[in-house]
Amino acid sequence: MRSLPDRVAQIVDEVVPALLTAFIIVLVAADVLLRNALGRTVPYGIELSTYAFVWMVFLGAAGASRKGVHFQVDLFQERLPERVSRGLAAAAQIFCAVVALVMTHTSWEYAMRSWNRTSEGMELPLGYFYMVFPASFGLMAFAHALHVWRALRKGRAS
Amino acid sequence: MSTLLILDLVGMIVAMVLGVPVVFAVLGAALFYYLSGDNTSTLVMMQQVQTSLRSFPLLAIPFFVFAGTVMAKGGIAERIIAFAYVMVGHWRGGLAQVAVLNSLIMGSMSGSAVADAAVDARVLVPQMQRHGYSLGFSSAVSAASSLIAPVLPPSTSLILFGLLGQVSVAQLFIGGVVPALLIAIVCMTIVNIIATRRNYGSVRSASATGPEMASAFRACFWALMMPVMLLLGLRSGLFTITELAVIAALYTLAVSVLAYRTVGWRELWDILKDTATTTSTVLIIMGASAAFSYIFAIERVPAHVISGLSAISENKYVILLLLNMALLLLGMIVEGAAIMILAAPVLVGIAQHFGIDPVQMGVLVTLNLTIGTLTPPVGIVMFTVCSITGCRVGEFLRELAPFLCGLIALLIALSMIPEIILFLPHWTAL
Repeated sequence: MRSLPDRVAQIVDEVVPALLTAFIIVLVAADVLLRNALGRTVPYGIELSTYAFVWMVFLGAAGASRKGVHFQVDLFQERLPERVSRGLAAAAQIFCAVVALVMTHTSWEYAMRSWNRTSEGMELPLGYFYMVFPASFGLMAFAHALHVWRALRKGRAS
Repeated sequence: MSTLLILDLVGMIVAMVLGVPVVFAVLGAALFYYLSGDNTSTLVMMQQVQTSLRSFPLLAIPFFVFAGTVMAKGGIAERIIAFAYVMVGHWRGGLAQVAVLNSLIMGSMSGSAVADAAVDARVLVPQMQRHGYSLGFSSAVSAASSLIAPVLPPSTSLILFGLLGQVSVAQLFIGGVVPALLIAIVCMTIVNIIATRRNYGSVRSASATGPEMASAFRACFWALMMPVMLLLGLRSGLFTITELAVIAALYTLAVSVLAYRTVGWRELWDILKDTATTTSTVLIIMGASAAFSYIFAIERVPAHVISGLSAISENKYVILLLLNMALLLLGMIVEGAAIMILAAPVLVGIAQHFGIDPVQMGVLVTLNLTIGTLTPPVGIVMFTVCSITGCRVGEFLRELAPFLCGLIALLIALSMIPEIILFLPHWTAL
């Protein structure tokens, strides 16, 4: 049975990106259909779909951190002694957590500065769209910190 | 180029080789530069990341990924293998030839080498082994033939190169068609030579009859129409790449749901989740690399690279050979998508300076970096195939050698004779 934080994380970084993918497909398809059939477009279709796409990429990337499926080179670790390999993997996770944490701070600052600017079409404050950056980097930092903690616990147990 | 940037690049590559995920190695290196520099701010870095991703044409990538995933999960792969079996199963080394033809057809739908290699490794390698083919050869042919996919439309690499280098994606797509066919011919020829020497026989006693071929064709007719539709759509010029991509996504879904009845709600949900994950893992690297590309612009890297190359030679063929060698070596140690994203604007600058057609450059770079996926230490296709088939890397590399030589020879031919790539885009006047 998965814990509550795990389930919440799964909804945010796996279910929401999948729904956003469906939303983008439907929106762009409707736009193409309307334009070719009636010569009209979905209001704010391009703007909505591109922002939804950015959200999908960032939240999906947070999910990739949680599931450990980001692209990486793992040939050398497999050839090293197990203790060294485990140490290296933990160091890599710490590096990721630190980078994600710094990016959380940077993107938070960036999002805060964008509340007084509005999007071109819908004229909504850009902060609404840009809050996905600190949220996703925060989730990534948490996921990598969790991987380190789990690796340490596993190491101690073995 | 400053010492800081050189240290940064070395640090980034070392981090990748030590197992740090590519996106964090690139972001870490970019952060290090922006935090150490005098005139830059991390807010500029965030600006670069978000601007690079807030692009409507980029939406073509998740749409094509969705279409490819529907094809892979909708039972279409099995129908295409059955079709390939009927068409080339009677040739010498029949099953290996089936693997190559399957890669050609599947590649024109998925655009992904890994997806295609995984299908061949899972379905065809066990069959090849039962027919007495060595595990190394079966794995090598599955991996080598999968290189067709990234060069054919709807290739993600070509879309990225087009968008980052401001080159027509339609022209790149059309320009990839002949090289992809040539990769198939190279692989089939090598299979034929090895099969003759090792006495690997055919899997059918005789060539298929007309009704057999018609029946196999009918079974996958709707799937085979997707690449045709894509090329006609590109040729017509009525749709943008993003629009074509969404049409392809809906078309594959309609074929799997209505014609083949292999995709239900549960499968659709899994496909959406897979699409989001695959797209995110590639495009987050693009966002991170955009921050790094801006550093290249600040440091005037393209100008330095061009003046460095000009000092060696002004001959475009010499430059192409040098670039090919550098990219082949780099592709062995750094993930191809990251190199493509970081280097595309620089490479287009080089192409313009030396009078190389950017479409030729795009197709060459894509093929070059894809060859890197076959070799250690970053060979994602090699690892995918070896982990599925259980083949040892040493044995795989031994059997891969002739294919690798053939592919590199093809790369050199494509560099020296640009018309091979360019005649089709020029002929179709895209």
